[in-house]
Amino acid sequence: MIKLSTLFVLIGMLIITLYGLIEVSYYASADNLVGNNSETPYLEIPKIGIDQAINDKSIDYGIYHDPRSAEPSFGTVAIFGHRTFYGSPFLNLDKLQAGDNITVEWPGIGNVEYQVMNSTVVPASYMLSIEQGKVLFLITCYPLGSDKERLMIEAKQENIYPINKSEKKPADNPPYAILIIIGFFASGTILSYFYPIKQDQYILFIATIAITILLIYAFLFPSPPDAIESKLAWVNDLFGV
Amino acid sequence: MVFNRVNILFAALAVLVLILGVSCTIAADAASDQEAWIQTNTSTLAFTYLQATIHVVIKNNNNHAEFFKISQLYSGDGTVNPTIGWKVISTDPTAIRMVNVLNPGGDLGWEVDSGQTRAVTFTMVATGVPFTIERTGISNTFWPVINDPGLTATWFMPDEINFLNPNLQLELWQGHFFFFLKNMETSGPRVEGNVRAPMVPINSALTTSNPTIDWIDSEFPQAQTAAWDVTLYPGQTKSYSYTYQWPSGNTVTPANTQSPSSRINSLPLPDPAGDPSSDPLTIPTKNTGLPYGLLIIGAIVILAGIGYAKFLR
Repeated sequence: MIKLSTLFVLIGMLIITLYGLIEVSYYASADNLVGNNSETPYLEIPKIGIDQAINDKSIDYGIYHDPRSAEPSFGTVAIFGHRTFYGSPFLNLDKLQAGDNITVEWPGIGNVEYQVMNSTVVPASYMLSIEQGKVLFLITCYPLGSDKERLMIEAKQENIYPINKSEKKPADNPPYAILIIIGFFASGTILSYFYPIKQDQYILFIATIAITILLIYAFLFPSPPDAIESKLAWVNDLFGV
Repeated sequence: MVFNRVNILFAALAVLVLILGVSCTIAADAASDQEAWIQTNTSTLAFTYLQATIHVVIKNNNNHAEFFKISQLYSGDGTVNPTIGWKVISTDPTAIRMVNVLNPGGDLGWEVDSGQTRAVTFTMVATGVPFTIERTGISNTFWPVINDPGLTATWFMPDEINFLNPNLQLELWQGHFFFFLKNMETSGPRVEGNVRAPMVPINSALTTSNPTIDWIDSEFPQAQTAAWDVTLYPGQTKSYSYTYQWPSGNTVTPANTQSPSSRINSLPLPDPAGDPSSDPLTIPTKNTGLPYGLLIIGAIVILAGIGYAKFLR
């Protein structure tokens, strides 16, 4: 019969696997989505090291422009990004201060420069007006590791200048998805090897193999893990964390 | 038997540790906070943004065309109040500029033919922000105004428009407001207090609010006030929005049913038409972060399992 301690470890592994599944799916699907398409817009914020493609499909693919808002230079632009997981593109968004520069490279429009005016924290249920003139809103979760509120950076439009075709270089990211899978397999193997209850070591190792196969499947057939995310959010709410 | 008891004991201990961990985190946050009440005259609490969208249905009972006007300037007690002004940013259908412009910002209006019932919508943004909340300045206690034809109107009431232009009959008024409140101090204690917002015409019915309005007062003779119990930390900004409708129709009017003040957190908000999520001018913010909480719990559960296997078995 399986020991209670082993059951605890398995439950913990399952929980962490769900987070790993989201990350692997994200890195696999984001790479497939963006590729080297010359029509892809980019967001550049030198101060916090952001130089990343913008998509209009889903926030689960990275930095996301809500198509209901305007394109740069035409009105209010709303761009969202995850602060935790999904590559955490807006991890350091709270470091931006008034006067910092933001550039949105938008094919067909140009390099649109914005200057940060202020930052605001609003409830998660907040409805953003998209008729506020030529401003840019960068929106992410607040505080770090919570989804209770939103951090909004508001920036006003400055100059627009043509895109220099040669200046944009395709991002050459490390193979994070593969590294995550290897990390899970290595950690699970080490855990099962050193697990104090000898007769249950094989159970943990089998679980590690199963988790690795699951992650490889998510890597080969990626899709936005909305369902997993919503379940995790639900459980988080349940625990009040 | 002993083994089972140890198992149960350990499971209970693990749950206890989890609960204590979460509780201690919350308690630590709470203990580090200081409190202060919003001071009416010296408060640094300010509106940093205030927008109103008003939908009006009005009927012309006269035998010739009339003009339904709105003003771009708020004026209280017959004088222009410098603390708050309104800029009309959109109108639907497009408004026309009135002759005999009385306000520097210009009066706008719509022509309503004889016997015609016309629906118009206009959106205004408050100018001069940020402005502070001052109880002494009664003029900025109430916001919306229709200023036709005189400048003395301080807020809008159905009787007032009948008095000002008895040929124009108000059929429907829907007001949607949202605003930011900011604690302008960058350090010091948090501030707490009630922030009130007008619901005029009187006897309107609240349809939506976000966050849910805590109170509706009907202590003023010409207006109801919706109120939130707010807490703002130094530098923090929060948003508030609410929508109401006159006449109240079949919707719930808490101030009428539970006057003078009513706690309405548990009351239903019956009018989906006023739901901000259906407003094409606004978009919801996305869920942009996966909470760490469960991940930490997962790690703790694994460590607890290993710890038990190694030290307690």
